[in-house]
Amino acid sequence: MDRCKSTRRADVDREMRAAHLRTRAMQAPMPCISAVDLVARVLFEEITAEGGEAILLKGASFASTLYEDDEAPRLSVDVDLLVPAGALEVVASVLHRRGYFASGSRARGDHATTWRREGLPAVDVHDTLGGLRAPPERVWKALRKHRRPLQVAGGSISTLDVPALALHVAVHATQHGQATGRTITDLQRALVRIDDADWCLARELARDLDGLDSFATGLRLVPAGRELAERLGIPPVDSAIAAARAENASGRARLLAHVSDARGLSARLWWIRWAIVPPRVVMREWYPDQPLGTAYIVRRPLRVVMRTPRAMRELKRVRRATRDRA
Amino acid sequence: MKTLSLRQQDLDWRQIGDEIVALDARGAAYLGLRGSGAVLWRLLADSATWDEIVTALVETYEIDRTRAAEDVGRFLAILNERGLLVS
Repeated sequence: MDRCKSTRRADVDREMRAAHLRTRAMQAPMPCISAVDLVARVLFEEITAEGGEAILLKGASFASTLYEDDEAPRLSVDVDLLVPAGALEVVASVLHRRGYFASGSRARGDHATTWRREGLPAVDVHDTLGGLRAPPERVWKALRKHRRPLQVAGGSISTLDVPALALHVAVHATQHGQATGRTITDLQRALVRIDDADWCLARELARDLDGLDSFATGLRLVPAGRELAERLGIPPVDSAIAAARAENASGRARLLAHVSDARGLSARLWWIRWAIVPPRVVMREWYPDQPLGTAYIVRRPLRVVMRTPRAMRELKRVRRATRDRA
Repeated sequence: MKTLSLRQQDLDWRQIGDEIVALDARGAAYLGLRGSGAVLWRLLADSATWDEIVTALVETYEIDRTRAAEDVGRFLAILNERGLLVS
């Protein structure tokens, strides 16, 4: 018998046995590639092929910058894309074709729509980064200049460069505050791995996009961040909404925070009106078992009146907590 | 002769290095294939007959046709079980 052929036969046997399909849970990563990364690559290629643009947020971008060579890799369970207004239709079309549907309603101040489908990771389509007050078009224009290519699941995807990523890490920490350990871990790693020069650029980006309060509040959630803020000359900020987010305040307190931070009387009145008379789609979510008329005329205003004092106390508490930490 | 191929809907895959990674949205399964599995997968992606698939294995790995046919049969049975095959 030809020993070479015999060896090859044994190899093929082993290969075939080893090469049988391996089924993994959707959220369990391959050693280097995860299902989420593959979905991100596929969606990105389709969006680009149809003339749209997108930037991958978090996910592989955070993993490669903040967790590279780490024994505990950063796992993602969904795909986050930043998309300009002009590409929203293309993105929606791509997602629809793949069986995704937009879930839930967007409350005022939300910066993303979640698309879901059974069997695949959810996709959060962002039109801005939470905590940045500049209009989405200006945010896209600025962040577009801070793109870099990243190899994700074997393909090249646009992600944020280091300064823009640093900005995102900080404002993301403000968005989710202390309750989500992972955002704090991301921040702590960013503070170790990203140098001051890039943080300076992040600070300027935050200033340009009217997000300095959220940026500063995020940094000051951890001691190393407070030290960095001092080095960068960023004083503590007194933003109600940043404090409410960082301290994971209730929805009521956050609404009140928006009123408090609103600039000008008409902006404040807008928020008060939204709090008492939110859009119909939001009311349906909040009061699914009530006829809309009853919900609008009776239940909602009554709720606002009764819960405002508690919300005010809560907001006062979270603002004090943020000031004390700074 | 009947042609075999991979399901088109709800199945995405990419070649990454020597490996194929595939996402079966219907079965909520994430799959990885290497070596001869990857060779067979690529053939099915372009559609092939049974004869063509077996011949490819024989020629790539220089094995006898009988064993190749058995191996291909096992591989296709797995794909069929998972609803990934159409003919």
